[in-house]
Amino acid sequence: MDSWKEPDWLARQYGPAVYRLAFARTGSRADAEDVMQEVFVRLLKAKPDFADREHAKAWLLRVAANCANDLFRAPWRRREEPLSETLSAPAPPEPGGVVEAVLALPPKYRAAVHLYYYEDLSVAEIAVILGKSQGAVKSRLFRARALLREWMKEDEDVWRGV
Amino acid sequence: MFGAEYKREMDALEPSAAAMARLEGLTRGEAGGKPGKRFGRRAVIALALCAALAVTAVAAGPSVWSALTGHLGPFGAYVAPLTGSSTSAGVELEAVGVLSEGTAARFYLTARDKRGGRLDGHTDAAFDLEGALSWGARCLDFDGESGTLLLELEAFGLSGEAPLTLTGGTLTPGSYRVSVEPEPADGLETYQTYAQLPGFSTAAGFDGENIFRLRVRLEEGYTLSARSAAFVTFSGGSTWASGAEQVSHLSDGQDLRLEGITRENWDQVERIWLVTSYTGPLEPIEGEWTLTLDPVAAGTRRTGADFSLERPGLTVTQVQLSPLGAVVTYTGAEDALTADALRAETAAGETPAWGSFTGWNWGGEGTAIWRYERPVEPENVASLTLLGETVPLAR
Repeated sequence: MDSWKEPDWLARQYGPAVYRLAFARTGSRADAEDVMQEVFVRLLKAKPDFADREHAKAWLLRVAANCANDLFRAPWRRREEPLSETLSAPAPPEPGGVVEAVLALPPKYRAAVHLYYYEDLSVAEIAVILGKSQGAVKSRLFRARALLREWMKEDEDVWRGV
Repeated sequence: MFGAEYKREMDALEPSAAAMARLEGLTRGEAGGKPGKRFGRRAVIALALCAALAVTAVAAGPSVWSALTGHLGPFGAYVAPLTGSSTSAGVELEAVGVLSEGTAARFYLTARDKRGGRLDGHTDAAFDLEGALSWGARCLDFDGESGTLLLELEAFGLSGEAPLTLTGGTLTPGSYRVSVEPEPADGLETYQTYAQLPGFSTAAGFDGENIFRLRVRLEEGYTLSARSAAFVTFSGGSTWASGAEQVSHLSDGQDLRLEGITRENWDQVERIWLVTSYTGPLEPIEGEWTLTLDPVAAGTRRTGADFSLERPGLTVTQVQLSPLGAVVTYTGAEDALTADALRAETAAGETPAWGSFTGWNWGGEGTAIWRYERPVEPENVASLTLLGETVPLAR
């Protein structure tokens, strides 16, 4: 088998991409790590035959999007994770202002925004990953940009070239 | 640029070393790979997604028309009635009417909760639309007695008179988008409530380490649907530096630690505002509705097929005039056309005022829409001027 088809190669290569999509969708590091793990559990179970690396990545991202959606449907989602008693800063670096703004969007818009601006995917490719029509993807991106522009209107530079 | 900044910030986010070690252990087939805990005991919520399509020709009742025309004012006379309905997840979605402007249209729908008690006046409606782009739907009215929402779904980029298809969506009652400027207090014990935001409160002030914090608190039954973000402007004109805030989850909300703001530089802070969103206490409803929406083109005057108006970085390809206003189709940058670019003049020498200016732009393909304050019949417009040039409109 080509080495790139090996699950551990795919995990090293695309695990962080899966994690970032899941984080964009859920806004939670813990949930993103759970999604990352689950995606590769499903890879091991399904054993898909990938034509090439792009096919593999698209498959992994699609499963990640579905798993992240499943988290939002689960009833436990309503419980907030209790914080430790002290409110001193958590150890890992937190996302910056632009990512924070995206995380403040309604959940359904975040995956499309991430796939478009981070993974540089086309609307058609995003539609396949999210299982939506191209029109639906465009509408989500369009509405997300309008919300972000409204929130960040004090910083017009952010929008140059968008 | 938004995209470049988003990439840069996302690149800095990595899964923990422990998570990668677990992942590599799993994929190498080693024992002890921790299963995704959320998925091992995932409960399947039976939403009873009834995908049955029920198309019936039902005219909207008088109360719906009354609410619609009340909202639209003088433009209500131009609403073309529509028929058709679809029921899914216990909600009947019904087409009521359309205000068409050519390549843009506003569709009016009702969503009736047949089970009762699941919708409210703060319901966010998101539908998938084939055949056009859409901002989404906004709630115009809610009749609590019948559990019926009146929704306005705005669509752009319609191609001719071909009908559109609404294919499913989500109704999320109790949806609140928050953009507030919390009042700082001495310490973080004083919470501020907001009249239009039930179950939501904030505290703002310095902590024991002299760092400014914002606290978001929700009452039982409400849930944050976003990670809260703070935006700050300083008197020198600068804005909030990315990576300068830390968000922590609390049992009843979120805490934002704004390290860049201390008592020492507090006098330079001009404005702090908090953005987030939350829902509650009702559950979202996902439905697989299927509804055909006919744009029913309004009587419009439009430019001919050969029309083109060019400026540096801009090419206008079509102008359409309806009783509602004007729709301009172009290629160019998002800000290529501004509100003052278009002027109409009647035969009586009057200049009808524009009530609103909006539009969309996708990869340089754009639509700009000007809407009158009051309707003006297209045949009463003696001249239309765009960027100083007279637009030739067919009668």
